Amino acid sequence: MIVTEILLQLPLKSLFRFKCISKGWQSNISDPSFAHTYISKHKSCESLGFLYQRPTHPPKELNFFPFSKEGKKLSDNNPTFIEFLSSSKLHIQDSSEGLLLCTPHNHCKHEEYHLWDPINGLRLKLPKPKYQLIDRTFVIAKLICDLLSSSYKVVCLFSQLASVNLPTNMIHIETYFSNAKEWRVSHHHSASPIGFIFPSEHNYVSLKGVSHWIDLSGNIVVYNPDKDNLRVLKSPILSLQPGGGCHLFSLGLSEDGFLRCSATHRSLIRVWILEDENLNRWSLRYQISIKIPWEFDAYFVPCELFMLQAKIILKACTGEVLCYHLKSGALETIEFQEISGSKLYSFVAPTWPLLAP
Amino acid sequence: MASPSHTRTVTLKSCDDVEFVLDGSVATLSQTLVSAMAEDSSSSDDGTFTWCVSNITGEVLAKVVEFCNKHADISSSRGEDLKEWDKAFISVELDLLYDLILAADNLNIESLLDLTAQRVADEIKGKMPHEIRMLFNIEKDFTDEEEREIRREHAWAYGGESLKSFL
Repeated sequence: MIVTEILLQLPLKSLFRFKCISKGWQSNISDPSFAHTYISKHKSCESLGFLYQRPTHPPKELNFFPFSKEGKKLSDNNPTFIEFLSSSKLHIQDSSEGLLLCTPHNHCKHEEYHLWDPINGLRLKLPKPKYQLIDRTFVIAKLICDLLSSSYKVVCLFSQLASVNLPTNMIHIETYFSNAKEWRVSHHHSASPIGFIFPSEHNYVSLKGVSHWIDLSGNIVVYNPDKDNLRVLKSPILSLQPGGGCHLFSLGLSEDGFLRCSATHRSLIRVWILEDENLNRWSLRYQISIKIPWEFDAYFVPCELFMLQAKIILKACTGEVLCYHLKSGALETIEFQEISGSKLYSFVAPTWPLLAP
Repeated sequence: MASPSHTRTVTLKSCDDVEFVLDGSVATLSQTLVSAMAEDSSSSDDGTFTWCVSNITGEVLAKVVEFCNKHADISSSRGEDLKEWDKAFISVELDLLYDLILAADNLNIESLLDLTAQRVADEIKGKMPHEIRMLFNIEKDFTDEEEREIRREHAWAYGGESLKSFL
């Protein structure tokens, strides 16, 4: 049908605005098979920019730091403010497919989770989790959205502070399934011991519905919530010579959708790609030595890496956010004071609203 | 038996009797022609195949043929250049655009259907529902109350601020 062809080409906002044109258009747009085709056609991994929140107690508004729409140039320093219900005092914990996972606390409690769709403003409080948190444990709560089955999961891994010195074989996970509307606690025995997993937003990535966390030694915990299956991958970081100073790791996705693992040691950044998961085979994709733009180089420790086209976005321990251009080797400071010290959550364009009224 | 389509030429005839001769490989862009040729067992020995497009005028068909020739030409069908070409090609008056959509649908040419649908979508995406009704001559079959209810449910789609402007 021609109308359907035209509707498929419309941006999401126009599409939902046109629902009230006529009953015919409404039923076209509301048809699950239409949504399916639309999602497949428009699904993108392109990040629109960063969501960030100043690390204050109580949390304040959520801000958005956009890249240009074409992704060619980083923002012209005008963060776009998103109306956040500041009275709700929520911290953002993760972002997936345009949906946000929020908690009223910062990592240390496992009691209350909210989902929030900044596009249509809908908010949903999840039922109370079952797991009783023990002392000195951090919760790393992450969101996995699956648009095609219009469902989502919240996966919480409990990372015990004691594992900093004493790696553990016991991993506890609790997962919320939106379809079943309930939490499931699961305990796993891992063959190799896992160290402390630092609750940073860049020690984690989800790939094809599977969660990946990296511990302080470079072990990657891989958890498939659908199969309730946990295993451990060895990252290439494990084979690095310490050589003085500390290595900082991060997980993410490569430009071409592979699992990416990075280690930074002072100004040297190495980025590996997981070529074959079954064989645990990694390949070194980038090795970059960054010319530090400041006099006191010891302070430069890139903590977090984002990869967007031929750019790597780095966050320095000083709080500065930098953009390194892979082709030219140019380093550009993103001059924006507000962002420093904030956690940055890459925000991907929502393809279809998951929370509906 | 019909011979493979790329070895033949195809004559397209518009409703006002304008004829266009296409190379067989060009005609394969149209699923309608592909199916028609496959079913056609009475193929003449000289390998020509004639197809009458009953509701498309010569003016519109000329544009369709231009599009197919460009898109079938592998040497020119590369990324950015082709995108630029498409952009210039589709910068037409709305009346011709609607005729092109109908032709793309009738002949089942996927790339032309995508291009024309995209152009219409670009044309209408910023408009409000009542403007769309006017443009396409659509009768409103919701009551005012029903329309208000739908609008209330999707109030986000009517604002223009912040993140929403990216959608």
